[in-house]
Amino acid sequence: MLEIKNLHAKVGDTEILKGLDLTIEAGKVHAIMGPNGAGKSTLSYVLSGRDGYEVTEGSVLYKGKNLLEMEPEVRAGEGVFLAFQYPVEIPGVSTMNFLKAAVNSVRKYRGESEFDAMDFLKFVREQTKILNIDDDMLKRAVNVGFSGGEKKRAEVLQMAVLSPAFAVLDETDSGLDVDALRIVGEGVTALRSPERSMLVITHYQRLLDYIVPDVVHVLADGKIVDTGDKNLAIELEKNGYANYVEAAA
Amino acid sequence: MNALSPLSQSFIDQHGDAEFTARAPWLDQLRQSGLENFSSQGLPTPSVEEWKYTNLKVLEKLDVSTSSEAAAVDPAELIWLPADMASHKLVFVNGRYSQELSEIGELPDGVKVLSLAEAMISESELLADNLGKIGSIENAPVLALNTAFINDGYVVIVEKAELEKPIEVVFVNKADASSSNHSRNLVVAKDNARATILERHIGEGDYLANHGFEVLVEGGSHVKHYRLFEDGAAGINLSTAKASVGKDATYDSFVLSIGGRLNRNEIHVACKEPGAHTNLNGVYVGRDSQHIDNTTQIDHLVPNTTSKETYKGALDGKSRGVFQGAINVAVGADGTDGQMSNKTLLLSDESEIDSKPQLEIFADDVKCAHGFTAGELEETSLFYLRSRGIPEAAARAMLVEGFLAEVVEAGVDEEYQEIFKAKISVWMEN
Ligand SMILES: Nc1ncnc2c1ncn2[C@@H]1O[C@H](COP(=O)(O)OP(=O)(O)O)[C@@H](O)[C@H]1O
Ligand SMILES: [Mg+2]
Repeated sequence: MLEIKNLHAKVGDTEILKGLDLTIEAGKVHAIMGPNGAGKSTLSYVLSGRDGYEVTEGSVLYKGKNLLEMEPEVRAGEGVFLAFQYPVEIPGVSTMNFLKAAVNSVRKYRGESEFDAMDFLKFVREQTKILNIDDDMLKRAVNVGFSGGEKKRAEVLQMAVLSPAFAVLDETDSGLDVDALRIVGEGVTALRSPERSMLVITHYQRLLDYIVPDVVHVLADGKIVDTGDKNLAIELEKNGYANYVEAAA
Repeated sequence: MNALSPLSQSFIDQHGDAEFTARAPWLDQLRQSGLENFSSQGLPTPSVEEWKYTNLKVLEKLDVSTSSEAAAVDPAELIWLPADMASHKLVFVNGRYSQELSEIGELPDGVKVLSLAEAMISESELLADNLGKIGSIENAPVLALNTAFINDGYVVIVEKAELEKPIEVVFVNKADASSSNHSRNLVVAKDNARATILERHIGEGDYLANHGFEVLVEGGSHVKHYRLFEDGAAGINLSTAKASVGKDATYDSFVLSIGGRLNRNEIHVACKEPGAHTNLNGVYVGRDSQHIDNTTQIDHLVPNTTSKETYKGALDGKSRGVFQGAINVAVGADGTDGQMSNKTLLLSDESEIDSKPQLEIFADDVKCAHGFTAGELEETSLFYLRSRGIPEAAARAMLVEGFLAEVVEAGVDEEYQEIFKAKISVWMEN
């Protein structure tokens, strides 16, 4: 599904990713853990095509295609999704209209028929129920005045309706209380399928109780420095990243 | 006294030839005072502080000396509000009331909606008491010019009554040759009155439409004055509104400027008694070489009056926007709360906004704040939408519309929001 080789990327003049290798097979969930500033969000932005994140070396193949040369909207059409660590507020645009525009854009890209307003409402309601999102939130402007938990649930809702083949979740657990964490975790788990891969970026092991990963990586100083199974996450929770940070320095 | 410019002189010459149908000694006097005031200074030039960013030299291209004549208008052009939104409708063609095109319908007790010419007969006392009294022509040469030519316009009087349906007013300009006209309009709301006025300005060809508005809102009344300026590409629209707000009364103004070669929209509100409140909201969009000037002044004259003002715009091409917002808090006007903000999206390198806040505060216990920004769309927002599959052009349009929609939502009753949002959407598509 995704094959990252020797990826180097800079933001401005600073090199953040320094030779990152990562391969994710179809249907697998990989977790990336790592200290603050390691480059986790940078990786997520490079994969989704944000301006200002310059790849200087290496390659990213997605379903055999060169992901790096695609515009962000093309990546979305091809099935790449990023749940933002800090979801962006879009004043004056209702969540409903935004979702509809997004879904119809990717459906058009994929050669599927676009939804009309009625069908779309039905389609969205199936997902909002699972994520415990009420209709009122759909009427409000995208992320404006949303609580931390609402923002993260809205990200998972977007993921659900866009039906990606490869989703990156960047600290989707941060800022959530126990109940919200469970809703988000179960919501994401419900979206697991043999055709869908995920890269779950997190700081804490607790999210991985709900979304049990197939593989766990440690990212420090712009590189993958360790890889293991779900037990690696439990170890990290106990011992922290001190060893990796020293080793990388 | 400086010699008047040929342009200013041509208005004065035109006045000598004008035939006014609305006649009364007090009205002749009022026109005369307007003429004298205008003659003493002429049209403002950029050397006048309030006109620094808007140059009326463009008027030289028009033959303003010709007064607009009546013209044939296809009623189909005038359709604006959705079919199921009944209204009391007045139509003015080239500044003159059109009986055939208007349909005022039934009015509840305490409400009068009529043309100025009619009001001169049935409401002459009320007109004499208010016309030229609410809006001073001191330092307002364009309103002085309008005053010199008072002859027609709309009059709305609401006392102790609530008007459920909106009053719809259409000003249509349509002239074969270039021309000018000066409508003068009056709104009086007293004793817990409620009224909503939806006003639309359209036109074709070269013209100057110089509108004057006087609005009196007293005794717990609430007037909502929503205006759409979508003049023709060569049209010049100067509008001066003066509102006086009394005890526990509210004047809401919303303006969408979307057309015309030049649109100067000036609004002065005086909060004269405790509890007076005003909301001034506006959206302006421009492209090509359009020039849109929103100039406002809010005077907080007594304790405990409040105002809230938000203007937002999106400027493309070589268009130019002006926002001048003055808030004056008089000596002793404690408890004043005045909030003002102006934000502009510059969609091209050549578009421009001149934004000038002006706070003059002579009382101690006041809350006044203003915020001004101008810039491009935020990259983060654009990326967020694109990462959801929305193509770049559509994402930009969505952000601009959302940015502007916020003001429509804040400034217009829900039932009328779509009317204005739809206009913005159409503008975006072109
Ligand atoms: N836009 C930016 N400009 C400059 N430096 C940045 C920018 N974004 C991130 N960085 C730097 O890149 C490093 C990695 O950041 P990030 O990818 O956000 O880390 P993580 O998500 O792992 O906490 C940090 O040192 C951060 O300060
Ligand atoms: Mg991060």
